[in-house]
Amino acid sequence: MASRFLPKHPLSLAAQTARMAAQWPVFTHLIRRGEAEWIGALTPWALGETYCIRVRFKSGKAPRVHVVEPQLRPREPGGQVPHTYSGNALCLYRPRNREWNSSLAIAETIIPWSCEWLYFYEVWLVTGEWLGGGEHPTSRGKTKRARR
Amino acid sequence: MLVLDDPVALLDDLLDRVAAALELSPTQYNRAKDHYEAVGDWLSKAGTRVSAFGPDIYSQGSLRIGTTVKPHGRVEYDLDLVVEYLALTAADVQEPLWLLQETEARLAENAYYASILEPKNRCARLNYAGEFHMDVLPAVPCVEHGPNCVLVPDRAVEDWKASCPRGYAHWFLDAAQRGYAPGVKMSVEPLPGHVPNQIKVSLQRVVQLIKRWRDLRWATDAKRAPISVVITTLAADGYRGDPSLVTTMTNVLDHIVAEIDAVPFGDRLRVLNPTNPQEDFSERWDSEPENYRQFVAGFRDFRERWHRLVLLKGVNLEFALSTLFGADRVKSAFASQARDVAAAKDSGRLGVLPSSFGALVDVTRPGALRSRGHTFYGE
Repeated sequence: MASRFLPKHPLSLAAQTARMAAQWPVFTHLIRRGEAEWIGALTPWALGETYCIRVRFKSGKAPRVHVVEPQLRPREPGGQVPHTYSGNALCLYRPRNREWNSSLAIAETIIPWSCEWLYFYEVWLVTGEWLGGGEHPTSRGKTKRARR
Repeated sequence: MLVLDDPVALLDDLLDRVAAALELSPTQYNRAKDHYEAVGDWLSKAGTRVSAFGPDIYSQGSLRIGTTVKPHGRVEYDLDLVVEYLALTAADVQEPLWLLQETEARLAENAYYASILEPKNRCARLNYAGEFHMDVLPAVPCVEHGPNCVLVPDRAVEDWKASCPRGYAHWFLDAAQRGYAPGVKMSVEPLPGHVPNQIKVSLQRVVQLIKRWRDLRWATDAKRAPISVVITTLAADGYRGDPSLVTTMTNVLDHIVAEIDAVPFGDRLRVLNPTNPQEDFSERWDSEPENYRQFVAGFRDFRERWHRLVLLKGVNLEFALSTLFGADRVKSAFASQARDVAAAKDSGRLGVLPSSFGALVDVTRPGALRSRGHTFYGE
């Protein structure tokens, strides 16, 4: 049972770090208590803002992405930003589909997905529609397709 | 695919989508064409009271040059048809108004047209039920003024007025072609590309956008609004042969304000028909100086806003665009652009460029990282 969920060749922290340094040299990097942290600026499209994101990753856990600056904001006071977890961590993939697992390089998954997320977030701010596709968990734990 | 790391290309694309959404729909366009053809057939039939005059029938106005804009609110769409009686000259026609009467009489021989006919100052208007009316303009050729020039009877002055509708259309389309390769085919129909390799050029789009701005700004006071032919002529004068919509809009607005500024105090800008200088498109500013004042104030304001707008991003940009062109159309343009990006993502054509701070690009761009498939999730 367990073997079905263990990725074949998980990347070590050092390997993730090396990939990030190679692909995203503008990102700063530090290791704090066994957890890697990368911070960098992303400008997904030329009519949009530049965002500073922070990726935290600990071996064996899923990476978490937060937008440091500018703050994510809802469309109206008290509203919610779509496709975020509590604390405004970005929801970039469906865990059940194993779209991310520890054998994948953060540099080639999490970061590009964040670029897309930020682009569709800005479009959502303008139009009120999330046009990047995606799904929401329902309270019963099943997933319903996100309304486009 | 869209170039997302080029701000001018992106804004050009947005503006193109806004303008395209303002055009007559293909259904409306076809309905307009049907009206044109039906009236044209009726007037050019053999053996009628006007047959001997040698009627030559052609459209003028925005349909002819591909700058149609859906009227805002309850305003009807205006179709213009010229009936040039080639066998007549002004000398033959002693009473210019007689030409109007003959044309109306021929139209009225059709019971349907008779029921919707409304004589106007220079034309016979057909008020179709629904969104169109058609102005039928009788004219006689006037070669002294130039090829394609005509004289049009005017009821208000009980005399002829000079005009040059065909020449004007040619002039505009020639001007609009500048800056494009000779093989590029300009379209006058809505949804270019339905006929492959046809596009709307930047000057056409900019004229559409300025007309839209005009419709919104004078929404409650349409009688004071600058007329389309004035806008179109000034825009063509200000065009510098640049295929970019953004650059063209900047050039046109700078030109219009520069022209306004160059006018001596107490005088007004004159916008003459470039193919028939006897025709002053802007003559109404003499009798309505308030219209001129509003024209001047309007374009100064538009130009200022425009210069600020091109520096904006995100929601600030959308807000500035919405103020000028209307929130519905602008937000739809953002959404439509984003759907193309989403389609690229879904078909695996989307990548990111680390060297450009993660700009979304076509995956074939050198240095692009392919974005591996994933589904956004979460609350």
